[in-house]
Amino acid sequence: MTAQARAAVYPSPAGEERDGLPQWLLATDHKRIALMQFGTAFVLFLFQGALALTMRAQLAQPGMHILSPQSYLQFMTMHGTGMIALSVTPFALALGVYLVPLQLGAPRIAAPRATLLGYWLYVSGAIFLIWGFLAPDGASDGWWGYTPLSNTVYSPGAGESLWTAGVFLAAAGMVLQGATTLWTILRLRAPGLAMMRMPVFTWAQLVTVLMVVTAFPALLAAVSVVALDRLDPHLFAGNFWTFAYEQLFWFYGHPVVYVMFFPFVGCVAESLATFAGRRYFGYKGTVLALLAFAAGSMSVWGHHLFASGQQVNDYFSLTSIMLTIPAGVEYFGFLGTIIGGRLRYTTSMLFALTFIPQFAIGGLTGILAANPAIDYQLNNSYFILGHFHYTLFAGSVFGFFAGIYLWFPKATGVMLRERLGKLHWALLTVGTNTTFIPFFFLGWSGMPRWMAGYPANAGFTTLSLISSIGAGIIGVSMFVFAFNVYVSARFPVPAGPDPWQAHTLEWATSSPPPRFNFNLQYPVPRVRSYAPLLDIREDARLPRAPARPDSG
Amino acid sequence: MTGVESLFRAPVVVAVWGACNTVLAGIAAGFVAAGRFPLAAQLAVYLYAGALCIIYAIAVALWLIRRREPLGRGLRLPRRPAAVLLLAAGVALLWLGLPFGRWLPITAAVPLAFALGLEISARRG
Repeated sequence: MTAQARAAVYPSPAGEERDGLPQWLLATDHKRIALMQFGTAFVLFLFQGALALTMRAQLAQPGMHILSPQSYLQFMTMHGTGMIALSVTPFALALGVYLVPLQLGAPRIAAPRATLLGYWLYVSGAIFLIWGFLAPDGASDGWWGYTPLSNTVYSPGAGESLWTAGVFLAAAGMVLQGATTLWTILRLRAPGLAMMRMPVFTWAQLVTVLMVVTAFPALLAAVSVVALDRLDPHLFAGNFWTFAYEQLFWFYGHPVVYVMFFPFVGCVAESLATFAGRRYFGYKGTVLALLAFAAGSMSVWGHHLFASGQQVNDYFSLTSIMLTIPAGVEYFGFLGTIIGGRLRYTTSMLFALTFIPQFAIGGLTGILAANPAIDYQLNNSYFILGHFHYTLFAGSVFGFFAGIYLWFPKATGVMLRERLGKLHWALLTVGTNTTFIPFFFLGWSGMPRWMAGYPANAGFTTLSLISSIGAGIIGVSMFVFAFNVYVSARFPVPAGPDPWQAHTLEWATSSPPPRFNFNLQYPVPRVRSYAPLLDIREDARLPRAPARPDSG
Repeated sequence: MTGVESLFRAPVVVAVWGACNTVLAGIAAGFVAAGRFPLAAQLAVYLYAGALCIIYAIAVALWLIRRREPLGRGLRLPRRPAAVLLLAAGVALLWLGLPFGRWLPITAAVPLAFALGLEISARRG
């Protein structure tokens, strides 16, 4: 034990968990639950990606007949619902389930069985959603399931009902995981680890799970309305219920965008600080900005309903545009950390650096759409598709991979190959921008979303083809990533506890960490700031005070 | 701990976040009151108020249990995690009634009963 270490040690339990399949499926170790969730969500991510590639193939040229118009709508519904409810949100929360207890020096997550229940409810939801998609009359009314389109009059058959059940179960699972992560942050921090000593990633997780527990119940209520409406279509008849459902849905539907964003901001922040070799710049400002950003994010959902004519447009326009202020503070943090740092251009750092301008494009185009007068023109056009794919794909997915390349060695004990990683990054960057930049121009030219084709003389052909080629490049990049994981598992290069010279507590323990995260060999070090390992390294570099002559 | 660190305790952080949201909800209520909006638009304020109740409930719960040992009941491996899987299966079966007939939720009784049995046996040690 070093001189910096303290006595916070968590001995291994008498019956250490074994490594068989049942032990994994019924794991109460937060790390195993998170890894199972990563695996499930990544397989589903590839599945949703395959749906997107099929749709891009359909739109590559006018008059393609790969999908019928009805099948196209079913693909679109499954792609949207699946990416949000089955892939990116579970990724975001799994990051917290894995990392938050480690970053807090805690031996476990709060209520581990509830966390496991959350995972299995999510898996049940995934089964229902895919079952519904494969049914002959799969849901085709979008990831929002608006009434009355979703009732049995307009969507008869089992597909829509299975969609409803799947969304409810997956969302309920995420609420449980959000609640356990929240309680871990608020109650299970190691001794001496004050809130203002938590890493930026954990702060990002805190605001994320606060939004989960406050906004996701609205989705559970909304989906229950759909379920009851399907049992009796006369129950919620009338305009009031149609708009009330939209309010309920979007009270979840916009905060979930930030649930799929803040954790990846945390990934980028940790990656930038680690590979710039310096303390994160503007920590207190970033913490306050995150709290303000998350509060603001709860108050902007109505901008999705500008065109309804029944919404309080002034208020939601004001709050939506106000979000630029905390976002700007976060960007100051990013740039301030890079400037003056000794940058190491690892794959994780490249993903983090690419996140910065790409998310800025997504954010800035969002400001345009936050203006009701402009939104009336852009609503339901490809411009909106471009905006949210730049936030969620060019932003969040790049932040996600920054985190994956940073923490893969911690979770597995082996390094990912850097050359393959950089090839993955290059292909994904080229593919992403080739796919989604044309969306803005297509939208500006008037191309509507939800269309399975377009006339040859509409002027959309060239840009649509470029976008479809880009989607193919994204697909290739995912194979490179999968190959990188395979090579790293087949020919492992041991990582050691701290391969990056990182700053936060998870790097003070072994890779992968023991059952209760820290033990006699790897105790929780003393925490004086949000970068405890950097403190220890800086202390070690300080000249020691000369010994007194009378000290013996 | 420094001044800022002692100020930013967990209940305070949650309450401050709730206060930020209260201000935003208050502004929303002002806009709604000043205009002539249908009842469905007014739902925005009620929804927001519901979320605020959750936030403040968390802050109050944290404040009430602030003196309890943070690590709770110590480090033990949770017993009978299979009950969790059965509970998830039971909840999923309940939802099968929606697409495939209202009698199907009855089948959920089997995994839910087993889950309950496992839980009771775990608590009895």
